Amino acid sequence: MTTPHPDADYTRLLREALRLVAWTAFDLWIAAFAIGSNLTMTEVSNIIEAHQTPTQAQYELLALAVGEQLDNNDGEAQAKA
Amino acid sequence: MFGEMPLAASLAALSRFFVSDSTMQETLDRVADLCRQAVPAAAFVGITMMVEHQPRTAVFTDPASPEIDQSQYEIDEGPCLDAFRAGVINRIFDTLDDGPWPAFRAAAVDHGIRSTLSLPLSIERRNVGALNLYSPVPYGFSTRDEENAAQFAGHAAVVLANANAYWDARQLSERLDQAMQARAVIEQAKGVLMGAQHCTADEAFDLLVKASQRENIKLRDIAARIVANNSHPDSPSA
Repeated sequence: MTTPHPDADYTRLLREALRLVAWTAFDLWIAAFAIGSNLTMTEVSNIIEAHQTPTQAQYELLALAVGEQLDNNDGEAQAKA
Repeated sequence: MFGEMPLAASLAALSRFFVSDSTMQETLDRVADLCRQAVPAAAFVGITMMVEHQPRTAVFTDPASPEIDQSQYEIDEGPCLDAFRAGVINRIFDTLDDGPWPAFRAAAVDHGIRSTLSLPLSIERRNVGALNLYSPVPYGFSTRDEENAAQFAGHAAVVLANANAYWDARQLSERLDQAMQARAVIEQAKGVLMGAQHCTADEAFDLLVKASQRENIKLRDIAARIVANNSHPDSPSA
């Protein structure tokens, strides 16, 4: 659980996902908290700003949180179409 | 002394205003109404604020207000925008006169407005919006009207800042509450899985994530299903 994720682009991917769902670091923090994350708001900000390398588990949890929102947006877009 | 009583009554009403009793929209509506009462020379009042990152007439006492203001939002210049951005008071004595913001003047004339007064809504040097007053009479606003409106704007800015802070805090509280409720269900589901599968908390979470991905169902929904199933005689499974 403490091995850094091998994907060097994790920050870019997270940022891109946040941009797509129009989320701030705070939005990500609260969504990740809702599904069990123990990261602090500062840690989430540091990860997004590439000042902190997340563990694989942390990265996957953040990706899951923002991924669920992307799914939400897709569902809403399809409902409107 | 004439003109001070409406101001005093409006300021008294503002000071009694309790932001948690009303929505943000109701607060804005009330501020606009009280402004018109504080400055009786104003036929109607609008408030310019940022709405979805764009300056807009968020509140008005007459639909002509946003119609007139639209001319300045389209070309990004006008007395209300200038009051908002630069924190200055702008008074147009007669919209038929030549002067700055010709597009705004023309729109005002089209709506029968001959004089306007725009004031910043500022708190601690931060501009949160602008109050815009309109009169069908040339030279409709006196220096005393401007002073009264400025005094009202100072108090109104505090009310709006308080209302903003209150609703931001309330929204945050609601979001945290929802997050804690969602998390509680996920933690319960992890506990169920740990008992049933004899695994660690992290392994239980992995099981939840895999089940969520496999069935294309949100994590909190799959967790709720596991918790609900566990309350029935059937054994739980992810």
